[in-house]
Amino acid sequence: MKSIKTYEISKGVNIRFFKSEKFKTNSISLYIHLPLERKTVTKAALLPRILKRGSQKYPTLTELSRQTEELYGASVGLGIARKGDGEAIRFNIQFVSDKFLNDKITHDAVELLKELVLCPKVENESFDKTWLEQEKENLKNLIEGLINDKKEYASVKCNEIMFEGDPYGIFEYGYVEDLKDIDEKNLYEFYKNLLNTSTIDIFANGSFDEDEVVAELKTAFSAFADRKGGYSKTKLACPEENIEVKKVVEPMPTSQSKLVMGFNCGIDPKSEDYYGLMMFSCVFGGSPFSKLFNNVREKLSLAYYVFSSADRQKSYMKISAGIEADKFDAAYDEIMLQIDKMKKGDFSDDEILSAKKYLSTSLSSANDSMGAIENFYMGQILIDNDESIEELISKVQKVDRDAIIKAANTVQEDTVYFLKGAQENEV
Amino acid sequence: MKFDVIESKLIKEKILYGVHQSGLKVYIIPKTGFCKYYAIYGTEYGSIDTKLKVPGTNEVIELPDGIAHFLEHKLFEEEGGGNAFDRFALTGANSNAFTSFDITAYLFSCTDSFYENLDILIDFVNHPYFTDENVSKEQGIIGQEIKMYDDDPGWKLFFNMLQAMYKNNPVKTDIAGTVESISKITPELLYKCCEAFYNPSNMFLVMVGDIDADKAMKIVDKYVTAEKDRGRIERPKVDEPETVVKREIYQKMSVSKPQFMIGFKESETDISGKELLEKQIQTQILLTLLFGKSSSFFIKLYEEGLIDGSFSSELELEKKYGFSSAGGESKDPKAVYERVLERIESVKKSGLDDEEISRVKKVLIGANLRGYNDVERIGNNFIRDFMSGINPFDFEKIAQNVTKEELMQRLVTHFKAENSVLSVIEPLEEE
Repeated sequence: MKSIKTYEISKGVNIRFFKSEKFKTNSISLYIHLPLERKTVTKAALLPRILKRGSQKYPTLTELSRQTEELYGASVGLGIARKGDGEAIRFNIQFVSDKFLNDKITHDAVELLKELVLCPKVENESFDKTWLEQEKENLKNLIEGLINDKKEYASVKCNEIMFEGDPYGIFEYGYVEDLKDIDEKNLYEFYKNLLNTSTIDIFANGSFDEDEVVAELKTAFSAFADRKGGYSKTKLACPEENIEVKKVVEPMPTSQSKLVMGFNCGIDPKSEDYYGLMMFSCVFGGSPFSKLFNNVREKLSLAYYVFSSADRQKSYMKISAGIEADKFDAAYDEIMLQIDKMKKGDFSDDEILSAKKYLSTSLSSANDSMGAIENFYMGQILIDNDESIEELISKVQKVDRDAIIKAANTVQEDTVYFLKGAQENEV
Repeated sequence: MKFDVIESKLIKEKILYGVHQSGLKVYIIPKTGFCKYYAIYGTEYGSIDTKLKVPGTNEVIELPDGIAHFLEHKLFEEEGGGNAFDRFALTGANSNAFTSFDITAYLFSCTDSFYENLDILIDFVNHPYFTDENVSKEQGIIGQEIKMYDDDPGWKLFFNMLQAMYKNNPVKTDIAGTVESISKITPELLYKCCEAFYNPSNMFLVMVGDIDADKAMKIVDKYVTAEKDRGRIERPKVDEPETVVKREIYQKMSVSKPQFMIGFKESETDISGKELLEKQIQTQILLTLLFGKSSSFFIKLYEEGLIDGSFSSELELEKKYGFSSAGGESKDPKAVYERVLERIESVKKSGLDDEEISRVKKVLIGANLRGYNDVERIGNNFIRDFMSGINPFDFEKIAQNVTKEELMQRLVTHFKAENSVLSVIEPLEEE
């Protein structure tokens, strides 16, 4: 990849450096990769919650928070990031660039990151028991709290139904019933094992001096020994012969109903066909001039939001809309009608042109956001693709009508989930 | 048109500023190195403008709730059945709009054809096209938007808090109105609002990027003329008591755990400019000192399991309304409320710590700098500042210079138990 430079710390542990001069801040993220699996997902979700409570040097949340405040309110984020059939525990620190301060904080920021990753608060090979119990409770609340956001809830449900038995169907925050088997000892054991065996990437992005920050990171993380390396391979969502579409209706006392549909695409993320899929999804439902927006919303006023999005790694497409409970048939029929039109090539050259411009703007805008840069290039690293944002844009510009029609004819309806709103007494 | 320049050597940014002959205020923030350009064109008009004094007459019209937001949706519509989204689509720009309590703004970001996009933006906002048919179509779409928010516990929590806080200030009304109130909106009413509130003297244009001012102003000249100027808008004054309507407000929804928001009503309004910015900064510092993650309050309640990582505080202090709030999830919101009030009283007695103050100042300075990472955020933050008469470059200096005495003073005047409310969304009862 031209824009990313890689420096190896040890086998399977790499620094990925991206230089950007325009931001006021620098950002460093450390990813510990692992496959998405039912037996580890809840532990992985719990870990960052324990680790951000404190460390050896900052043994309470108060002391840790004070240190981030001293670093001009550096934002420290610990969480999980999922992509395809894998996930990662992600540690991120974003801090003001030394250029804008009468102070130098890069070294301290790297030290803090190191402290969080390598020096957790541990006694007798165990995490703090009180913290563990509190964070189990918090994670339980978080998992149960999914229901508070109906749009997200419907999307997760559709995903679970569509990918039952597949890693992709796993809910990344884990499962309440699995919490009881986690204790302070086996969780620390799990973490130690991850540190020793997992593939690790350290993504550094900012205006700092390349040699200096690479040297800092190499020193800070020199304890990481060689390991196997590599990433989880994602099994594509492929169209099946004689598929029986899964349909689930779940009633709930809400004022708006949520329709979510999942489609298999089966397109290799590194193949030429992928660009056709991107263009198809944009014209069909991924833009404010899309077929779905103009027909389901503007023409029929069935929804306020309606859109489609295609996941590159897994190669599946999701359609999501908020509608009236009694308008399911109208919305469903219109969505299917619009797909049919796409399959038959019933879209204009202007729509193709608009989609190309829209994608070009969105993709190059990614260069203006530290988060989007990291997300894009980490995604590329996972599928071992060295295409830059600019190369992707130029590939999209070359997509023709036939490639879009081909993609439209590849996608296959797999799952329809309907969260049906009703008054409480009707449920 | 002549532009003045304000510069900040500290953060290495500048602002060009001028007033167009029509009365429109124009700002350019030169940014190089970014792929994106951004323009935001807004009017000081939002959901709190529930009455319209027709310019040049004494007529005052009561407006249906949600009309400013409705108008925002409708302005995209163009004669001949098309809409501005389709025009932006052909240039590749991302366009959008939003309505808040006191601002309606239209915006786009793009990576090329900036002037072509600016032309579309200024053109469509200045050419309303309303018909019975397109108004009734929008009632369906916005009806779904309202229902989406009806299911959003965070949104309900927030507006319930405002309902409990304000007696007369229209800030308490949902921005989108209700299905019932928007059914009263007609094309005629929309045209009237447009003529009054979208008059150039009431509007602001902020552009961020590597922009040629002359080229941009030629486009403004095409659509915004002095004839459209209706001068300053007279707004009927709202008579709002200092105290709150009620101290507690509850609603049941399908949530997993109680959600709560504790609010403090600002008693002093109608301040602007530097004075307003000073108050914002002081209150922000206090919120962090009182309830931030490094405070003794936070860790105690966290360890007792009364709050979790979702607990956070916010400030909205503007010309016509103001409140601070703190909220999250809790098994016992009432207990958190009591502890919040206790915390305030204890700090009022014990005073503030110098070292803590200086640390929190660093946090604010860092956050302010971070705001310059994103051209859209710059545009959105600055248009609000400019409408309030604030020079955004004053931020760092004011933050540095805040004194302990000012903070103590602010603590006493803003954080009053009798001006506070607790809003709670409770889970539905198990069947």
